[in-house]
Amino acid sequence: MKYVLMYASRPDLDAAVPQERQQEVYRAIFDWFDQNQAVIVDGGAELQGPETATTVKSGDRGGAPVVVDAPFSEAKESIGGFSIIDVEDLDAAIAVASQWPALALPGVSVEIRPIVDHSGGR
Amino acid sequence: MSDPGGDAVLAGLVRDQAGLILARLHRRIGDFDLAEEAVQEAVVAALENWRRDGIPPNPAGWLTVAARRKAIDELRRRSRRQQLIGGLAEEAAADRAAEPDPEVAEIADDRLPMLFGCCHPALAVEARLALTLRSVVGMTTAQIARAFLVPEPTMAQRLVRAKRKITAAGIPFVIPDAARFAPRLDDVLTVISVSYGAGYLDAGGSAISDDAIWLAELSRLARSRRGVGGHRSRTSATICCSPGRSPNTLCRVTCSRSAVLRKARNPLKKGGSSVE
Repeated sequence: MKYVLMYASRPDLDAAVPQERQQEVYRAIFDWFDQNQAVIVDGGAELQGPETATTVKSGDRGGAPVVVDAPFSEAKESIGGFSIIDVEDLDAAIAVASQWPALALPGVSVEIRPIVDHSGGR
Repeated sequence: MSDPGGDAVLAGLVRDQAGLILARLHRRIGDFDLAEEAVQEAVVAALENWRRDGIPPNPAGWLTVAARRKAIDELRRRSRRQQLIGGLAEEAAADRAAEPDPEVAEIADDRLPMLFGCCHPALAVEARLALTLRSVVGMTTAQIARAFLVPEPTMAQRLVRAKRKITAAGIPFVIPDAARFAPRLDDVLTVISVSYGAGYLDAGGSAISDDAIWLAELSRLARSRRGVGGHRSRTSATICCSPGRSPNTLCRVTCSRSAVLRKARNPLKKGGSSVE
């Protein structure tokens, strides 16, 4: 099954991490991608910070869509990137996600979402 | 011939065996919804057939075969699942020829992976509990709703959502490997412990408590399979399981309620263990 791993963190907490530590985690992330090469079908992307986000929202009462200067979620957590993996089942996906190196930092989480299969499976 | 005892036999069978039949069918076809539908249809068919023709010599076997056939019918309708049909049809043919006893010894083995699936941490805690009672224990949605004091549609919705997530998210029905076993067993024990307590909160729900004891026995089996010692057990439900009970003689039959209460009031002390 294919899953998207969404890497989230708290920008306020990220800012407090010393640069040296950040780079350490970054290197570990490269290693993680190497180690999981076999199951990563799409490396996805790392996203610019939430302060760069622009959101197009549906307008009030059927009006024209509205452009807003903000990420779509007011949550403290922000998606920093994503990858697509193809593994046997949710347990395998959890095993891969649990090794995400940034989880060593406070406020970091990985959301696992199955991808809709349009190929004909029920 | 018409046999009024058929309904009673069927009711008992649904209670004791439906979870097993469901577990095995699910293991074969990997589709939780389909397996459950097939078992339910088989029960309906049994109700009609047994009233008309009397109780078959091997009611559990009859139900197993019927459920399998229902599953085959449904799979045939879904033509893209052709590969699965072959294997199932062969088994069904063998069943028809031999009308075998459904190997009672395998009961615990087959329901264990389902127990772990229903108690998966990716499911909401209340959903785990409801799903376990529904699928592993074989209670009806109405019974579960009554025991937990929620309207039946609410409980039905909770179950539907949980089953949908199992299928959509790819939650496996397997006994976790050694590395993940301990925390997952804790999840299972939590569900067992809550269902045990819930049984006593509800006057008519002592059956849930008894089933919790049975589930605890089942999980004890899982532990011994994984070679994990009994010292991790800390739920009152687990405490209720004395080591002498055979997992296959469903301990709800043999377990005296007062003895259970006595042990439950005397929770695990330091150094104590439910499994010697």
